Amino acid sequence: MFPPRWFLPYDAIFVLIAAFVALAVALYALHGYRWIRERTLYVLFLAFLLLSVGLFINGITLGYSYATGVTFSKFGSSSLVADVGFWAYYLMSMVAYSLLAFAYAKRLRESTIALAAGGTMGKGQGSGGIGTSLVAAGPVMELVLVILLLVILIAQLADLTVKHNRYSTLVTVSFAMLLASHILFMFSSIGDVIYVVGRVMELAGFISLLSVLLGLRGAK
Amino acid sequence: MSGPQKYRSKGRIFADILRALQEGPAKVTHILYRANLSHDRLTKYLAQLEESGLIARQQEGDRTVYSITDKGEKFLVEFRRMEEFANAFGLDI
Repeated sequence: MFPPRWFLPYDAIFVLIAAFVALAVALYALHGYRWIRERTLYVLFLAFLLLSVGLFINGITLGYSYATGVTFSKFGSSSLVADVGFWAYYLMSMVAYSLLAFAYAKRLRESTIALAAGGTMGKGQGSGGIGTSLVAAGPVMELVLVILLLVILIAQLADLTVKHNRYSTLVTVSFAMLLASHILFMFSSIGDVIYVVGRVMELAGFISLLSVLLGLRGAK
Repeated sequence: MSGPQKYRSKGRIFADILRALQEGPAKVTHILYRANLSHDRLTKYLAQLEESGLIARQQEGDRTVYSITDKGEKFLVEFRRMEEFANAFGLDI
C-alpha cells in the first residue's frame, strides 16, 4: 500500500466506516447463530469479525501515521508501529477471507455446482518474511487477498447463475468491488489516484453489503 | 430458494417441524408426514424443541398434541431471515 499523505485522514475515515459495516454484518450473523445454531452463520460471524478488527486496526494505523508524520515509500514506512499495524490488518484480512473461501469451497463440494474453486486456498500465506517492511511487501500481501477474493467471487458468481435474487447480486457486487480495490492497491505505487480509487471502491463494496443487511433487517 | 442439499441441517429440520405446526396443533403422525422424518428422529427433535420452548405439548384424552409457541414463531421468522442472509452469500443453512 502506498497511501498518499494528503489522503490519510480520509483514508482512515473510509476504513473505519468499512470496519463498522463489517462489524454490523458479523453481529447480524451472530444474532442468527444464537437462534439457529448453524455453523455457516458462525463462520460468517468469525470472518466478518476478523475483517472488522483488521479494518479498525488499519484505520487507527492510518490515523496514527497521519498524526505522527509517518512517510511511505517503495522502501518502507518510517514507523515500526505503522508496519506492525498494517501487518496485523493484512493477517486478519487473510484469515477472514480464507474462512469465507473455505465456507464457499465446502458449499461447492456439497452442492451440484461442479466448480473446482478450492485449490488456491491458503497459498502464499506468510509471505513477506520477518523483518520485511510492510510497504515493500504490500503488493505481495495484496496479491494473497486478491487470490482469496477471486475464489470467493467465482463461488459467488457460480451461485448467482443458480439463484437470481437482489441480495445475492448485491453481495456479488460487493466482493467484485473489494477484489477490484485490492488489485488497485497492488499497483498503487504507480500513482496516488489509483490508491484513492481503490479505497473508494472498497468503501462502495462495504456500503453494498450494508444495503443487503438493511434490506434483510427490514424484511418480514 | 436454496440449492440442492444432501442433507437437512438441524435448524432446517426444526423449521420444517415448526412450519408443520403453524397450521394448528397436530399429532405426531401429522408432523411426521409433513416434516418427512422417521418416528425415532421426530421423537428426538420434538423433545429438543419442547425443551427449548419452541413447541408445547398438550394431552387431549389419550392423544398427545403439539403446538407452536410464540418463541417458535419467532424462531421461524429468524430462520427465514438467516436463510436469506446465508443465501445472499451463496451459502446454505
